[in-house]
Amino acid sequence: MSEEKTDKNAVTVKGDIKPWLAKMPEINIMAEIEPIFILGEKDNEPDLSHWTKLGKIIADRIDEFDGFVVTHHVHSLLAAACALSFMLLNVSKPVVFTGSQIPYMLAKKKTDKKILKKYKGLGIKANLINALQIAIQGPAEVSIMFGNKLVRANQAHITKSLSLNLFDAPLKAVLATIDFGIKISEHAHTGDKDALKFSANFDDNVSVVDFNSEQNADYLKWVLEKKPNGIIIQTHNPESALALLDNLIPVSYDMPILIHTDIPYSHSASASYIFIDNMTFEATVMKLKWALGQTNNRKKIAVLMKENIASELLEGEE
Amino acid sequence: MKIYFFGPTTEIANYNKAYEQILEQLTKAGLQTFSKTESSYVTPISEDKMAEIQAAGQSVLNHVDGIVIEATAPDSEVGYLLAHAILQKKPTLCLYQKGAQIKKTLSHLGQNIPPFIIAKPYQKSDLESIIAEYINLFGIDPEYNDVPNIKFTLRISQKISHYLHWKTHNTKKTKADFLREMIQEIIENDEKYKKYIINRKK
Repeated sequence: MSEEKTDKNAVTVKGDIKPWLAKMPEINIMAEIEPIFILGEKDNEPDLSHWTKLGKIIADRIDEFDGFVVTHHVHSLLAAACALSFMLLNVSKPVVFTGSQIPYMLAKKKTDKKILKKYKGLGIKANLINALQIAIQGPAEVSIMFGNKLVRANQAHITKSLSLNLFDAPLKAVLATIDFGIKISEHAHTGDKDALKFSANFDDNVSVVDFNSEQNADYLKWVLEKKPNGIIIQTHNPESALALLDNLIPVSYDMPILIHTDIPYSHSASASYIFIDNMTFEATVMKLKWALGQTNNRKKIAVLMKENIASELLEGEE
Repeated sequence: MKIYFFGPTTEIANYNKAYEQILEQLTKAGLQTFSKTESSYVTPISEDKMAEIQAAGQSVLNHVDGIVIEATAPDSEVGYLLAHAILQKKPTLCLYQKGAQIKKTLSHLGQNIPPFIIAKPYQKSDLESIIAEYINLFGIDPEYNDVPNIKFTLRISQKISHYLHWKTHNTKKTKADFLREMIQEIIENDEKYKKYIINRKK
């Protein structure tokens, strides 16, 4: 999260957090902050084991804080936030993910320092300030704060524009916008909820096969040999993928196979496969991992995948 | 100068009058102020510009020149605005009345209150001088601010209107320019006023 990622101000070990926070006195006037260290900036990309640890800390200490801010590597932030949304069902406090959209290597080149200068105060620390304010007064759900938009984590996608709003979501999943203050949307979760349900059981043995650009039968065969507990096929053309799958998947294969498409209504029903056209890809992957962690019954998994577990199902705009 | 004013709405009934007084003084000092109410935002930033800022993911606060906060009523947005003000180095005036908790909030900054943040207790009678001090942050002395940015409605007789029309017809001056220049000339020749300004500065 630091603006100039040198060894001096990067958070690599637990002891780095306090000096790092001390460099931003402005955030200390907003709230009392208790930092918790899980993984350093220079460590490997976080995975489910780190997210489970994070979820457990939040679940265990939910009553101690007004909200939680998670600063995270951008690359896997969406997956992390999706995981937390399924892990912390009915969460009663805001859990806000944020980070820095300045890539780690950028700060090293002299020419790129101009970009850092341009972003200074607008994209990096501002994300943290906004995320903190959301943690204080924002909606009780898992969300992502970047630029001037707060979006529901499990309906978010990465934007392809050169905007500080690195993440976007359909209108009903935009939970707040920021102009001179934070404007909470009517679609944000408020009011009473059932008790928090913490479930850290995820099955990470899920394979993804991308049929969007090419229907690679050889790759699918290789994946099947690895015996994953679930497979997700990504395709823009479900009907065509279906024809290929019918020839490749053995009848005896009893693990759930999801066909994910971004194009709704583009498929017919199938008893053998679970079609998903109303969830983001990231949410689909994480939900399948979560569902496999709840049950190994294929039919029950199919039901769970269709159920709106954590407000992850995309709704049509009115 | 575009100034964003914020007063918490949590105890609006108690502080509305104070907010109005501050806004009035800021306007008198020649600043273009705007604030938000619970239901609407009135800003001098055009709709197109706002849409552009929103799409770029930028902070709207970066497009104002300064921030004024009435921080007597406790509100988490005060700390939030101050944080953005510090981050963006915006000249900020933080006003509070007796008993306000803002001093405790600011104490978290320790000795590091930036020079562009002025935090002051105030009474109605102090407002003018405090705002003058705030305006100095922009390098503008209100008494020497010649920018005609204060809207002033003046009722005139048909006779004066006829004269103004005759006087400015076929010239490049507007009626408003003519009147402004005339008043400017009066100010420059008013020795009594000049003495008053010098004494006030002392």
